[in-house]
Amino acid sequence: MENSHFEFSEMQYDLLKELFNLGIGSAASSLSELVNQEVILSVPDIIFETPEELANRLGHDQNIFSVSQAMEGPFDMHSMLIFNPEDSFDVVKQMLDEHLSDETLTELQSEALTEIGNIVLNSCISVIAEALGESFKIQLPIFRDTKTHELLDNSIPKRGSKEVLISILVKMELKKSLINGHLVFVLNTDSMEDLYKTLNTLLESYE
Amino acid sequence: MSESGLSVDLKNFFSSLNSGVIVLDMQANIVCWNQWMEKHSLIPGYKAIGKPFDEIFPELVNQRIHQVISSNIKTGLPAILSSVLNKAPFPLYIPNTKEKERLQQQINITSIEISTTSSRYCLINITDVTASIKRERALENQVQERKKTELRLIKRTDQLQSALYASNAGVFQFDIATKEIHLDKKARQICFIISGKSIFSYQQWLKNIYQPDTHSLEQYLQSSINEELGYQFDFEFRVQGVDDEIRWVVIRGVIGLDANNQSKNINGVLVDISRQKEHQELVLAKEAAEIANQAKSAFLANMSHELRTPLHGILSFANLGQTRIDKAPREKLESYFSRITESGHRLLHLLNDLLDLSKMEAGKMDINFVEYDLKVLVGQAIDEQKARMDELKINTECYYQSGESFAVFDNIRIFQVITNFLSNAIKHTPIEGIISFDIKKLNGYLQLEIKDQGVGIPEGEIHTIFDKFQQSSFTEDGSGGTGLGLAICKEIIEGHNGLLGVKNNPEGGACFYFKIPLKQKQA
Repeated sequence: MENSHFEFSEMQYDLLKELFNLGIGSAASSLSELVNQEVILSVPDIIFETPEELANRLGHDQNIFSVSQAMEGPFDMHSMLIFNPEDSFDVVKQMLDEHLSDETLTELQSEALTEIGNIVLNSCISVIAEALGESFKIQLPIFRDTKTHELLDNSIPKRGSKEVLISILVKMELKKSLINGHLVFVLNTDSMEDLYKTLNTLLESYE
Repeated sequence: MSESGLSVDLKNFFSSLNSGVIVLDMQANIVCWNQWMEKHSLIPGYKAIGKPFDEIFPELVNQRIHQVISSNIKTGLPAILSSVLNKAPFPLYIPNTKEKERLQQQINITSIEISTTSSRYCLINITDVTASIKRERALENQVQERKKTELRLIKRTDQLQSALYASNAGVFQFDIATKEIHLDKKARQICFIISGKSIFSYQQWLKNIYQPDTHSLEQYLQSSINEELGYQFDFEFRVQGVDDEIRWVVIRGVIGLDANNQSKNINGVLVDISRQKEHQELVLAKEAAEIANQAKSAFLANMSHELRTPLHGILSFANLGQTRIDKAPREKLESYFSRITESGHRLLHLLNDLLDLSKMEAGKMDINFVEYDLKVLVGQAIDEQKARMDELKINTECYYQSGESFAVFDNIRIFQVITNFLSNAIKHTPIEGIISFDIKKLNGYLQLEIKDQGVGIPEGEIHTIFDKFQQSSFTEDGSGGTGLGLAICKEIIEGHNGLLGVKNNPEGGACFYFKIPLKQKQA
């Protein structure tokens, strides 16, 4: 679904992609260090869509574990690291060197995954903030065990389920252990204008 | 506002928290150190406040703490350090304990901004999660223990399965309340059950039990359930397949009890014992054949002895007569002839008895059942032997209830038995003794007892006296018996579906008795 109010120019799209490319590159290297294996990323996919459409892209009515950090600054954004429960279990398992039973790991995984999300998202956000020359006020990470279509409930202020958001979605793959996950950044309508301005300011500074 | 830039209210709030609070300014100097930190680090606030963070924690090896603190000071990025990935980074301990136990920690690092002064601080909040980690560890130990137990159980189950496989046994389970029977694949095979399902109703299962065995199996099951047989269950029965193949099966199990000690189920194994049974039958048949063979040999040995004795008599007296015919007086020769005649009679008597017995044993004895009065037969027998008894001054007594001496039997054969018993009694009763007859009805039988006043039967011979060529040791005096008389009596009484025996009277002497049914099926 296209949004009539905001038509990003090609330059703006490229800049946005470039910004997030930098960010997720840094996030991937942090994750790669944590799990000690190569992390492969897709090109950021920037789409105008409703929360429902985003949920469907992540898999309709799927159980997911997410770690999200809200950030306020030149534009407000919600950043999220998402794994399905089985894969998140494997990620945690690989990070803990001591041998623990699956039962205990299940108990510990939300705590560990919150820290992992924090490391990955921080490294991404700090690179974006640095590139923009701006500072963001970032909240502590929150872990959620939820369904895909409930992912955005109560997390970002929306004007309803039909409201169009900008979602920036990156697919991640841990090559060795075949684990798939997503990095998702979501901006609501109010933030889009701020992003538009920020991108313009940045473009103007290059000119 | 204090000199650190943090309000007194905020510091009081931090002090009241049940978690550690360290606040750093933008130069990483400590500006707040709450009571919880004093208590658990054993560093008083006045020693910590104003000091650089690194000076207070010179040996903090966790690189991530340094990294996140500096990144928070620089860009305001928040961070969480979980107790899972960070093993107790700060040197904090449980207070007032001898052994210094380090606290497990969950650390949150955030920025706080004081709007009035526009200054920003780094807030380190430390939560004690030792208790929950201990719980996790306890859980982990339990889990490991459970896994070990499971492994042991799996191993034992495998061993049991192998043992069952090797023993050719099937597993069965009988639920007493639901009357359901659970049979594994092997058990189903043994019982000729083709169905793939493993649970059957008791009635369904009974259909595969060989009909003549169902009643006894049901009785045994019921007794087991009623705990009349203890907690072991062991029963042999037959099962029958669709093509009428019969198989011997043993069911062995234990009775399981519920919380109220009531029989709940029977658990055990089913084993096909057809081969063992076949083997057992062969062994029994072999033993029977060996016994029959021994009996035949004994019979032949006895026979030759019994035949040879009178023949010797005949031959030796005939020979004596031949050699002395010229010299011996006439009376002597007459005595030789009478000895020859006597031996001839004995031989004839013996051969008659033998013929009788072999006929009876071959089941070729003709029995002519008629209703008859036993008391009349007793009278006839006494009359027949009267001359001999008078000679010995032996008296007889006969007891009976009027009209209570009738039964259905072959009067000629039974007369033979009475005569035999009576002549035995005469042989053993002393001069002027009494022989008594007692006729009575007893539980559908008519019984006759003949008591003498002799020395009685030695205990060891009571059970063999009716066998062929058996004579009581005290009659083996050449009194003329063939040793077949009582064996013939036995055959006659058994031919009447009756019983016979001998016992010693408490007052002395022997008592021969027999009883025959009042009515015969064939009659």
